Amino acid sequence: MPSEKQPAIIKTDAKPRSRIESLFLLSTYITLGFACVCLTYAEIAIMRQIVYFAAFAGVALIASYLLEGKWSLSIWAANVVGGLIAAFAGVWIAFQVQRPDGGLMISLPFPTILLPYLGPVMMILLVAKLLRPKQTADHWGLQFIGLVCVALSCALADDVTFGALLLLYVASGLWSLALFFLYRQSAQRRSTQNVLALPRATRLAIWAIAILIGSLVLFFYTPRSGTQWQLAGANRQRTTVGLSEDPSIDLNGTGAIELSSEVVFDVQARNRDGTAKLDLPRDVFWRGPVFRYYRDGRWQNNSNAATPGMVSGPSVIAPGVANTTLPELGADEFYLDYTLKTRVGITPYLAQPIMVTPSGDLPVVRVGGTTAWRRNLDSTFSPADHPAVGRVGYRQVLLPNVDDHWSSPVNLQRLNLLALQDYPAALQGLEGWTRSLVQRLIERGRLSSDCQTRMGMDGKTHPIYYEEIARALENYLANSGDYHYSLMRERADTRIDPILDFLFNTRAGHCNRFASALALMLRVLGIPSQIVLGYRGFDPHGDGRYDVKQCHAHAWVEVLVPKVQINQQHRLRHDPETYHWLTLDPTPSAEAQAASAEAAGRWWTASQWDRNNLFKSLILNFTPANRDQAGSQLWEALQTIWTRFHDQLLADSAEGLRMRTGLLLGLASLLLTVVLAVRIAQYRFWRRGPAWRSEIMFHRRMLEILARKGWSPTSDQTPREFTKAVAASLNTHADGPALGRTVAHLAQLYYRVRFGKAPLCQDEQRKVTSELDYLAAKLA
Amino acid sequence: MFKLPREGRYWLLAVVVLFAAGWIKGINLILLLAHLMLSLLALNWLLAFRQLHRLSARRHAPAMPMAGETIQWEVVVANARTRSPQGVLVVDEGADHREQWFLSSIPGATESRLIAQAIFPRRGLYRLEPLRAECLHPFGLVGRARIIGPADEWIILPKMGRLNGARFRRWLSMATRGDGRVHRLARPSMVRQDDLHGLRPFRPGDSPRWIHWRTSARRNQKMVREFEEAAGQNLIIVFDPSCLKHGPAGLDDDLEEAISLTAAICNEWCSQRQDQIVLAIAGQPVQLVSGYTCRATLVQLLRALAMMEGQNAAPAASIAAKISARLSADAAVLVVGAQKPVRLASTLEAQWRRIVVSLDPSSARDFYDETRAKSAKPAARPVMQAVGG
Repeated sequence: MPSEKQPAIIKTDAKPRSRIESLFLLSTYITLGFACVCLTYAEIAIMRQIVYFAAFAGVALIASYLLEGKWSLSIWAANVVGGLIAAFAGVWIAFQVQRPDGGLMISLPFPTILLPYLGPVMMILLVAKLLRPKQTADHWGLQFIGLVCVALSCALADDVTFGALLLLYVASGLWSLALFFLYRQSAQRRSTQNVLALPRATRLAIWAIAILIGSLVLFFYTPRSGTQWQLAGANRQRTTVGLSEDPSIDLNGTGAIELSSEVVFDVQARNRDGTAKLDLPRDVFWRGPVFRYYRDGRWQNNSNAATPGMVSGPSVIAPGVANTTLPELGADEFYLDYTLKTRVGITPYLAQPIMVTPSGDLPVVRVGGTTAWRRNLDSTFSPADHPAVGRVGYRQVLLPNVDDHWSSPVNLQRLNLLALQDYPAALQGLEGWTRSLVQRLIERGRLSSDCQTRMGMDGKTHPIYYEEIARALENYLANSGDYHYSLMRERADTRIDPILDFLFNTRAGHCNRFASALALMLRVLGIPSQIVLGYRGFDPHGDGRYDVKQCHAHAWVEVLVPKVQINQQHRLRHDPETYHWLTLDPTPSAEAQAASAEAAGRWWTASQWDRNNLFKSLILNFTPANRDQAGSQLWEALQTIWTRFHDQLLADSAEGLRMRTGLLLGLASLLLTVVLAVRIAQYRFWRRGPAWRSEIMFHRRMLEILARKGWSPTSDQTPREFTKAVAASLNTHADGPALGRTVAHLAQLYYRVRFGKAPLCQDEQRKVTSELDYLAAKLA
Repeated sequence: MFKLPREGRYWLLAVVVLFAAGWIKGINLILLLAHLMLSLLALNWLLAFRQLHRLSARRHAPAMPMAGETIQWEVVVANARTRSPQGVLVVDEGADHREQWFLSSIPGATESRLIAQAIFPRRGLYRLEPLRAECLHPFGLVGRARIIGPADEWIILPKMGRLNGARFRRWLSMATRGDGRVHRLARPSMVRQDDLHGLRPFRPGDSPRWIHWRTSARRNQKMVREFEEAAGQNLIIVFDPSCLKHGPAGLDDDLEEAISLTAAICNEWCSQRQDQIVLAIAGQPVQLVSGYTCRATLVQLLRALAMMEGQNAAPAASIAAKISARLSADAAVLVVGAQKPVRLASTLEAQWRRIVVSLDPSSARDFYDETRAKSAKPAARPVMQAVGG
C-alpha cells in the first residue's frame, strides 16, 4: 500500500556516537576501501573500466560514512536503487560479452573470463549494500563482500605492490574486527556502566605480526595440489625482463617493463691450464631459443607453428654417440662451466660463437653424464635430458678472439628458406616502406646502388647483398636517432600490427621490438632471418665466475647470409652452398645501457626488484621446491656471513682488532641496555605498587600535613597510636577536639582501606578530601 | 571448554572455502589469505584461553528470595592474577533467569562485584547453574568458556498476597470466640517481656533482645529469657495440602493461593514479636515448624511452605497427635486449605474440644488481597565495583 510506505529517505535522529562506534565505523569503511583498492589494483591491468567502478564505490563509501546515522534509504528505496545498479551492471556485462573487438572474451578462457567481470559486480553489490539501513548483521555482510573482493583480487594480482595492499587490508581488518567485537558488546549492553577499553595500537601491531608469521609458516608447509594458477593470456601491463620456462615473444603488451636481478645461471670460465679466465668479453651473446613464425604480434617456436612449408621438430645432425669429451679447438681454447640457478626452458644457453668442428663435433659436453647433445634444425643445441638446477650442468669450449657474430656453416638443404622469409599479410604496408628506406639509405651512401639494381622482378634481394642490406638496416635502427630505446611499451594505434605501430608511430621500445622490426623488414625484402632470445653480458665476480641475470635478457636477429668474397674482377661472389647465421643487434646499445644504469641507480627501484622477486618466488609462484631452495640459499648466506665474520674477527690485523673491540663494546652496551630496561621495569612496577597503594594516598597527605607541624610517626608507632598522640597534642589548639576527631577518622579509614580491603566510595573520597583541606587550613 | 559462536562458524566456513579454492586451483595468494584468516582464529583462541586463568566467582544468596518479586543478589568475581584479563563475559543462569556481564577488564588481584536481578515465578527449590566465564577476546570469533563458580540451590519462598493485619486479627478473634464478640488480642509490651518465666539456652529464631547478657556471660553460653505465654497472641496454623485440580503448569492454582495466604498470615504474625506460632503441614508425614515470631522463624515457616507439594491430607488423628504437644490452651487454631477444609477443622475441633477456624483464599476476601499491590519494580542495572585485595 503506497500510503503505508516509508519515505525513500529516512532522516534519523542524530545521536552522538560513542567513541567505540565512531572508531568502528571508521575502521569498517577504511577496510572496505582497502578491499576496493586491492581489487582495482589487481584488475586494472586486465580491465581498465574497473577504475570507474572503483571511483563510484569510493564516493559511495565516503558518502555513506558521512551520512551514517543521519540519513538512510528505506528498505524499499534501497532495493530499488540496488536493482537499478544491478540492471546497469547487467547491461554493461552484456556489452562486454557482445562488444565488437571481443574484449577479454578472446584473451581469457572460460570460466576464467568470469573473474574480471566479477570485480565490478562485487563493487556494485557493495554500494547497494551500503545504501541499506544497517544492523549488526549488515556490517558482517559488508565485510563479507569486502573479503570476496580481496579473494578475487588475489586470483588476479601478480606483484609485490598488491602484497603490500593485502597486508594493509589485513591490518585494517584486524583493527575493525577488534572494534566490531567491542561494538557488539556495547550495543547489546548499552545500559551497562562498564567502560569498554579500546585496543591499543601496539597490541594490534603485535597481533598483526603474530598472525603474519603464523600464516606464513602454515603457508610454507601446507602440501600443494601441484597445480599452478596462471591467468592465461591476460594482457598484463607490468612485465619483468627475463625469460620464463616457456619463452615466447608477445609484442601486443603495453606498460612498463621491470628489471629483475634474479640470477639465471652462472658460468665458471677457465683456461686450458685450469686458471680462471678473467677477460671474458663484456658483451658476449648467450644464445637461447629461436623464433621463426610471426603472427598477430607474436613470435612462436617453429615446433609449435603449423604453417605450410615449415619443418617442425628438431632433428639431429650431430652423431648420436655420447660425446663425453670436448673437441680440441686449439692451444688457447678456454672452457665455460654452466650452473643453472633457475629453470628457464628446455634450450640450454651457450656463448657465441658456438664452434662446431668441420667433422661435426659439438663444442659442448654434459658434465657428470654421458648424454649425447644434438644440433637442432633451428641451429640450437640441446641434450636429451635437461641439466639439474643448482649443479654444474654442461661445459662449452671456445676460442678467444673469434668474431662471435658469425656461426658455423649451415646446411641449406635442411633449412626451409620460405619459412625464414615468411611474414603475415598484415605487414604488406611494411614492404613499400622498407624499400623506400633502402632507397634513402642508398641516396645517403649507406648502401651501394648495386643493391637496388640487383633486386629481382619478384622483389627479392640477391643473396650477395643480404649482409650489406641487413647491416645497413641494423645500423639505421640502432644509430639513426629515429628510434629510441625505452622500457615503457606504448601503443599509438592498436588496430595495426605492433611492429608497424613501432616503426611508424611510437618509434620507441625495447629489444624485442627492435629485433622483430629488423627481422620483418628483412623478410619483406626476401632476406631469411629469425629472432633469437638469450642474454647479453654478465656480472663478473672477479674470480672467473660470471652471473647472468634476468635483466641481461636480450633479443637479436640472425640473418642467413652467404660468405661473400671479392673475386679477381672485383666482383662480389658467394658460395651458394655455404651459408652462415649472421648475428645482428639493432637495439641502440648505448641507450639501453643508459636506461639500465638509470634504473639501477634508483635504489628504490632496485629494492623493488628484490622485493618483487622475493614475493613472486616465495608467495605468488611458491612451490615446495622454491621453499627448499630459498632455505638452502638462506643457510648458505648465513654460513657465508658467519665465515666472513669469524675470519675477520680472528684476523691478526688492525681490522681484526677493531672488530674485536667493536664487538666487545657492542656486547657491553647490549648488556647495559638490558640491565637498564629491567631496572626501569622494576621501578615502574614498584611505583605502580599493589592496588591499594593508590587508595591510601589520603593518609600520606595527612602525614605530610602533620609533618609540617613537626608531628611524624616514630618507628615503634602504629598509625593509630600516632594519631592518638597527635590528638593529645592538639588539645592545646583552639579546634583541638575537632581536629583530633578528624585525624582519628582518617586513621580509621586508612585501616579500613589498607587492611580491610574496602575502598572508599566517591562520597567518602569527597569527604576525606574536605577533611584534609580542613586539617591543612587549620594547621597552616 | 572450547567455544565457537555463530560468527566463528561462518568465519571457519569462509576459511575452508578459500582454502579449497586456493589449494585446488593453485592460487597461492588465496591460500595465503585463508591462512591469514586461520591464524587470526588461532590467535583469537590463544588470547581468549589465557584470559580465564585463576578467575573465580561466588554468589551471595539473598536473604529471602520470594517468587514473583525482583530479587537482587551479588556475584563476586575474583582475579587472583596480577594481570588483568580482558573482555570476560560472566554468565549467571538458571531455569528462569540469565544474567551476563561483559567486563572489559578485571584489574589484577581485585574483586569485581556484580549485581544480578531476576524474578523467579515459582516457589520451591531453584537450581542455579555454576557461574561461568566466557571469553571471546579480542575478535569475538572463537574463545573459551570456563566454570568459575559453584552451582547453588536456593529455596524460593512462596509469593505473598497483601494481608490486612488488623482486619485479619479481628476476624480471627471473632471466629475463635464463636459468639460473634470481638476478643481483643493482647498487644506485646515491654512490661510483658519482663514477666520472666525462666531462662533457657538460645535457639535459632529467638530474638536477640531476649538474650540475658549477664547470665550468658556467666555461663559462657547465650541464654534467653522465657516469658509467660500470653493468651491470644499465639497461633497454630494447620495447612491442608490437598490438591484437587491441576493447572496448566501442573500446579493447583487454588493450592498456590492457599500457600500464599498462609505465607501472608505467617508474615503478618511474625511481624509481631514474642508470639508463638506453629505451622503444621498436614501432609504425610506431618511437618511441624514452630518458634517465636521473628524473622528467622518466618524464614523457616516460608521455607516449609516453599518446599511443600500437593498431596492428600494426613488423617486428622495423626495431625492432632502431632500438634498436641505444642498446643497451648489459648492459642487460636486456624486450618487453611485450597478448598475450605471444614471437615479437617471439625475433626480437630472434636479432638481438641475447642474452636478450630477453617479458611481458604476465597473466604478471606475481607482481609486478604491475593493480587499483590507491590509490583516488581525494575531495579538498577547490574553495576560493577572493584575491590582491592
